[in-house]
Amino acid sequence: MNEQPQNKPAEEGVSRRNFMTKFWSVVIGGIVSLTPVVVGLTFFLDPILRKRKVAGGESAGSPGEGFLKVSSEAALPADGTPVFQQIRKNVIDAWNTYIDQPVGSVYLRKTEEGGVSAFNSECPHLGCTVSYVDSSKQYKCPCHDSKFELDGERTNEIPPRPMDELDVKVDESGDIWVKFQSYKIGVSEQIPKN
Amino acid sequence: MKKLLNWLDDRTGYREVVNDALYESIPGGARWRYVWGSTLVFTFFLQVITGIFLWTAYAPSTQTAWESVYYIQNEMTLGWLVRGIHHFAAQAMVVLLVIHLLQVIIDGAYKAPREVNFWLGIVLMGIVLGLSLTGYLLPWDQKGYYATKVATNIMGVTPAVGTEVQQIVQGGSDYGHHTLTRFFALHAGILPGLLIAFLGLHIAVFRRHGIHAKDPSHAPEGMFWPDQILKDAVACLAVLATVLLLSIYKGAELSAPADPSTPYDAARPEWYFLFLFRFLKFEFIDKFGLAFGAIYIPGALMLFLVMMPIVAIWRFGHQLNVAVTMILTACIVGLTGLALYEDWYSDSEASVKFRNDVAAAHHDAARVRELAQGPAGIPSSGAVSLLRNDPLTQGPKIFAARCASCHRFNGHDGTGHIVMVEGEEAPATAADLGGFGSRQWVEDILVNYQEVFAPTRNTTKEGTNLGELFLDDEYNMAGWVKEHKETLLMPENQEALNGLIEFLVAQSGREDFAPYDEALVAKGRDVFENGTLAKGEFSSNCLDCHDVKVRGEEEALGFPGTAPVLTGYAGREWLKSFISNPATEQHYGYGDKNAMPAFEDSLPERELDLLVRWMLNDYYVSAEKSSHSEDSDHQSSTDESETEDP
Repeated sequence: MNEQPQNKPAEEGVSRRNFMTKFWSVVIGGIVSLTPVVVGLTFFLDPILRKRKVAGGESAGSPGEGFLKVSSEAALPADGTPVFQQIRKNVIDAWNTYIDQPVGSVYLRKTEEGGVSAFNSECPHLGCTVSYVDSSKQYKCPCHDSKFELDGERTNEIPPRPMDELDVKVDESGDIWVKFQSYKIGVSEQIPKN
Repeated sequence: MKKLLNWLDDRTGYREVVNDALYESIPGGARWRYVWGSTLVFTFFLQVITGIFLWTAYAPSTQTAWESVYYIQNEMTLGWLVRGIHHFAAQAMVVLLVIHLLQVIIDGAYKAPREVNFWLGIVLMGIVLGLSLTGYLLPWDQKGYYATKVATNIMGVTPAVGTEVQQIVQGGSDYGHHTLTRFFALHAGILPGLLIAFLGLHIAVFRRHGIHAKDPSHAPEGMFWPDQILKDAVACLAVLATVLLLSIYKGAELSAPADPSTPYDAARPEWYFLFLFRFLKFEFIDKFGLAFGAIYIPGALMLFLVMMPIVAIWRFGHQLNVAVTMILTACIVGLTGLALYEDWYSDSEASVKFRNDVAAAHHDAARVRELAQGPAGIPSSGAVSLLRNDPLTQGPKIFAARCASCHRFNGHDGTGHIVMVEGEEAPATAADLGGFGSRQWVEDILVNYQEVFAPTRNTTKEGTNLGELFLDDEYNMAGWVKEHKETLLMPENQEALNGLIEFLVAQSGREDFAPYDEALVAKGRDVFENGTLAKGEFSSNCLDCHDVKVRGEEEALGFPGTAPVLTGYAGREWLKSFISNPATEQHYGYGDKNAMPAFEDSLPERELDLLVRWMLNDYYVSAEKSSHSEDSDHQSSTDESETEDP
C-alpha cells in the first residue's frame, strides 16, 4: 500500500492544488454519474409526469360528453330489480388501442320515480365487484361485506362512501346511455380516476 | 461523524478497501493517455443505468417489441433521451474499445506479465460486440431485423454445428417471439453479467501489475486519486457530452416495424461492422464460400490477437504484432470508408438505389409513426399491419407494379420514380392518373381531351395506333370536345362549365372533394341533360351518349347509349369495377378502343381495394401533415430530400 498523500508534509500551494483537484474530481464525477441517473429516473416517473391519452369510446349517436349506450329501458324489470351490465369502450393501453373492450360494469335499475339509475359495481372500499342479493334487496361486496341499499347508501361502516352513482340518460327510443366513470378506491370523497 | 466512521470501519474494514481503490501509484504521474479504460467503464455504467430504465418499458415479443420502443421513443417522458443515450453510448463503447486495444498493443502493454489481462480484455471485447449484436435486434424494426438476420445466418454456416447454433440462438428455425426473448435475456442478463464478472477480473489483474507506464520518468509519481481521477472524469464528461449531443441532434433511429414480407433494401449492419459487410461483398472472397469470409477470416484475426503475447516473446515479435495490427487497422478503415463511399457518395446505379431505398425506409418510418399516433392507434395484432393495410403505403407500390407500364402518376410510377426501360425514360401509353377524378381532371376531359389521352399515340392496338382510335375519331368524345371546346371556354359559359364539372365530380360521392356546391350541381345537371348554355349550343348533349343514375336517385336519367355510363363516375365502386374489367358495357364495352386489360382475375381484392383507396385519397393523414401538403404531390418518397449522413 502506498503512502497516502495527505499524510505527507505538504507546502500550502501543493495542498491547495490538491484540494482543487479533489474538488473538481468530485464535481465532474458527480455530473457524469448523476446525469444518466436523473434522466432515467425522470423517464421512470413518466406515469405521474405525463397526461395519458384517453380513447374516444363513444358509441354512434351519443349525446356527447362520454355517454355510452349500455342497454335499453325494456331490458330492465319494472319492479326495480337491478340488472348487472358490462360496460365496453375503446381502451388505450400504452401503445395499443383496443376497440370495444370490457372496462367495468354497472347496476342499472328502474327507480320508483320512473327514471333509471346506474351505479358503478366497483365497491368503494377496496375495489371488488359487489353482487346484488335478491333476498335482502341489497348490494353486498364479496370481499369485506360492505353492504349498500338499492339507492347506493351504505348500511354498514365498512365502505368509506356510498356506491358511485353515474349519470344516466334515456333517449326517445328507450336506449340507456351511461357516462361511465371510475373513482379512487378507499377514500370518502369521490375522486375521478384519469 | 468521525466516531461513526470509526465504528463502521471497525465493523466492515471499508477504509482499507477504499484506500486500495483510490491510492494506486502512477509512475510518471497522471496522464491523459491513461483515461481510455476508465471511459470504457463509464460507458458501461451509462449502458447499465439507461438499460435498466429501458427495461421498465420494453416488451419483448414480435407484437410488442417495436410498439413498446415506439412508445418509449415518441410518447414517454424523456424516452427519446434515455434511448438515445443507450444507442449512442453503445457505439461510443465500440470506438473507445478499439482505441484502448490499439493503445495496449502499440505500447506493448499486452506483454508479460500482463498476458492474462490482455486475454481477459479480448473476452470483454467479444462480450461487448455480443451486446451490440443482440441490442440491434431488440427494437424489432426493419433495420435491426434484416441486419441481425445476416448475422444469425452467418452463424448458421459455421461448420459442423451451424444449424444447431443458429436454431438455439433464434429459439427456432426462424425468427419469432423466442428470438426476441432469447436476445433480450442475452442482452440484459447473461452478457452484462459476464461483462461485470470479466471486468472485475480485468481490473483486479490490472491492479496486480499496476499501470503500464509509458514513460516512468515523465513526471514525479502520481496517485490515482485525485490526479488521474480528475483526468478520467473530464474524459468521461467529454464522452457524455458527445453522446448527449448525438442523442439530441441525431436521435436513435426507429425504422418501420419488422415485416418479413416486405424486403428492406436499405439494410446495413451497424457502421462498425461495415468493414466485414464490405469484405463479404468481394467476389474473390465469396468464391471461397461464405464460411471462409464470415467465419474463418474473422476467426483468424481473433486468433492473431490471442497469440500476440506469445509472439512477443520472440525478438521483433512485438514489432511484428504492431505492424500487422497497423495493416489490419488500415484495411478495416479502408473497407469501412469504401462501404460508406459506395453507399453515400458514389453515383453508381446500386448506390443511387441504396439512397432511394434509405429515403423510402425513412418515409415508411415516418408514415407508421403518423398512423400509430392517429385515432385508430396500434391494434393488438401489432404495428406491422398499419403499413400493410395503409393505402398511402401500398397503393403506390401496386400502381408501380400493375399500372405504371402504361399509366403515370404525376409523371412518375406512383412511388416517385421515373419509369425506365433499358436506361431510358419509357413513354407513357395511357393517361396520367395523378389527380384522377378531381375537378381539374373532369375539366381536362371536357376541354383538353387531346392532352389527357395524348400518350395513347405511343402504342398500338391490333396494329392500329391507339391514339388514332381514341383521338382522331370524329364521332366520340374526342370529336365532341374538338367541336365544343371553344363554346365551353366562352366567358359567358363559365358557370355552365363549372356546373358540369361540379355535377360530374359530385357523382363520385368522394369525400375528399366535398363539400359540393348544390346550386352548381343543379346547374350542371341541366347542362348535362338539356345542354343549357348562356351562349352557343351543343350539337349533342352529354345525356345523348352517356347515361347516368344521379347519386341518391333510383332512376337513371336516360338509357345506356354509345358511351360509358357515368353512374358513380370516379367513385370507389366505379373505379373498382372499371379496373376489374374496363371492357364491360357500362365502361368501354362499346367500340374497340379499350386497350386496358381486365384485372379482375390477376389483382387480388385486397390489393384492388388498397389501390383504389389510394387513388381516391381515402386514408388517414394527420392534421399537421395534411395542412402541409394540401397542394403538393401526395406521395413521393424521392421528392423529399431525406438523406441521412452515415
